[in-house]
Amino acid sequence: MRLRQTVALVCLLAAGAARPAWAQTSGSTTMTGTVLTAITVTGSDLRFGNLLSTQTKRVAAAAGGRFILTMAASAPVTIAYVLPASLGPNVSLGAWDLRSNTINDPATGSTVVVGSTSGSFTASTATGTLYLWIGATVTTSSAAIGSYSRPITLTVTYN
Amino acid sequence: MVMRAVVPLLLLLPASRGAAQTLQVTGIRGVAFGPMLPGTSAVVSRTDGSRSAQFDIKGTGSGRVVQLQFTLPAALSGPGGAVVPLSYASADAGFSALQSIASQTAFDPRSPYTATLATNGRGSVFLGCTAQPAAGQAPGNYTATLTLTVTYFP
Amino acid sequence: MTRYAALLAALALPAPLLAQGVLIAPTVVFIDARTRTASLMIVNPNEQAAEIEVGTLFAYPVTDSTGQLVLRTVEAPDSTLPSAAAWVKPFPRRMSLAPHAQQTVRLLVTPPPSLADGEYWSRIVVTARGGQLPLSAGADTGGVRVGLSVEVRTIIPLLYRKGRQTGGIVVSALRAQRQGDSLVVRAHVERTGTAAALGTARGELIDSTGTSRAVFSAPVTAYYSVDPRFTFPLDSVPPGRYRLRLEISPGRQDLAADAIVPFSAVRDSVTVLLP
Repeated sequence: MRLRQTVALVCLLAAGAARPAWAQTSGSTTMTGTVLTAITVTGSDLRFGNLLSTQTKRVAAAAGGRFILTMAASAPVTIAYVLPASLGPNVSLGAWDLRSNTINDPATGSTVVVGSTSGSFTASTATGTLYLWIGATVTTSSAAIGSYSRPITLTVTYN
Repeated sequence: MVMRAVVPLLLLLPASRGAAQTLQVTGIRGVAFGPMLPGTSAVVSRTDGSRSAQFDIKGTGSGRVVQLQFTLPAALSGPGGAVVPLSYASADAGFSALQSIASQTAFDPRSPYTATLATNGRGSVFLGCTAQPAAGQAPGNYTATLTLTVTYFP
Repeated sequence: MTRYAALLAALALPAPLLAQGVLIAPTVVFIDARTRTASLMIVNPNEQAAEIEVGTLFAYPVTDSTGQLVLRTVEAPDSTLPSAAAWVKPFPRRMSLAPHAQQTVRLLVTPPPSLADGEYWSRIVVTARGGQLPLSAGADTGGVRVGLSVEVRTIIPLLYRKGRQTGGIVVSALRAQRQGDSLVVRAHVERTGTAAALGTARGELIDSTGTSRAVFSAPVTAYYSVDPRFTFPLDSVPPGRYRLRLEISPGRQDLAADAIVPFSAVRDSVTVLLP
């Protein structure tokens, strides 16, 4: 009797051992990333091309230099500009024309009043994109032959 | 007399029961996208030594065959419930019996993969991934859990 | 007067516009006294190389009489001002970025050893310039060639925090006045905590039946005090008597929540008569 029980127990153990042992395990890690808010400001040059030694030429804002600001929607930014009054002896600039819009269409944009060669305005767009166009009138008065260039400085301040 | 009958029977039990089934998977690092810009996809290659995910496998025996299966997160989760979708390409995972990021066999992390561990019972798995923050993605830190399940084949 | 005042074509053929500019992230840098470092990502998004320069200055936003934000710059801040500009060193300071190239700029803060707990401010100035402006597209036949190049400066805030900070604001002098098809709202917002208040203002115009007729939401930043200007569109709002409700709460859509020092939201309201 005792032997029969013992043999039965051993047979049970053997039966259990006969199944294949599927070892399985898992490991985990954490994936990470940080989303940053960015601001992009790009600008293209304002070109008047070739002029006569004495000539007045106007480039309207729509055909002039263009700035594009891309930022978080409704981000608080202040835009300041510094415009050169002249490009050298007998080459003067004036009648600045500055327009802004939240879409790439100067015709429907708003005029930014330019009272002097420097100024600033606050801009915040629901879309996060702002376009600026700039034009001006250049006047040469017996200007010497040569190349005349000065920078327009646009400062975008994120508040 | 009982013992004399039992001992030989006990000796017949398969010697493999429990002895060589140790299997260990360690997550060394997860995919680290680092700084991401809204509207710009961030891609991490499985061969990137600092940003790709790595799991090290340690088993017993020589040249054991294992099945590798990822539980891949669909997105990173961030502030206020915001998510950054993730996507995986067919060669975004790699296995190396040498545990070398420079020597991998590529495989599709979206499907189970059968690999052979080295003679020392080890291997490593690497993973790359692409994150796609939206243009208006909320700024902040995003995380997700990546899991690798390794199964011995008999 | 030159002898070569020749008659030339007034315009050269249009040439591809050269663009200068930069992408900067993040837009606000927060540095903790425990780490004392942060990184700035700078990307050249254009097809031309750009010369980039990174500098610092001390400045903080205030409002002018019209409610417009302007940056008040202090060239030589004394010890009474919480300036971190002198301690913040960017590496590298100058770089030339190829088209679509990216550069990480490390910002290292080395404050004075005896610095008291508090929040200290600086501004990071990133200047981007393109190459020489080619002023003529065709053969040089003389004449006066004129053009204006572009220099883009981007100024972002940097806030250095040592120790635990507190947040708080008070709002007063809430008023509103119709200007054309808009309702212009003004208020005085003053910081009372140790950290700059970075929040969002939400306004609502309620009619006599309790119905909301117009809303606005705009970021508000108070380093010291500001008198911001908010605007309600009044396209569909008829003349009458309304209640203007204003609430300023911590947090901004463009900033990570864990970077904000929280403060209790403040509310105020005023009666508005729309003619």
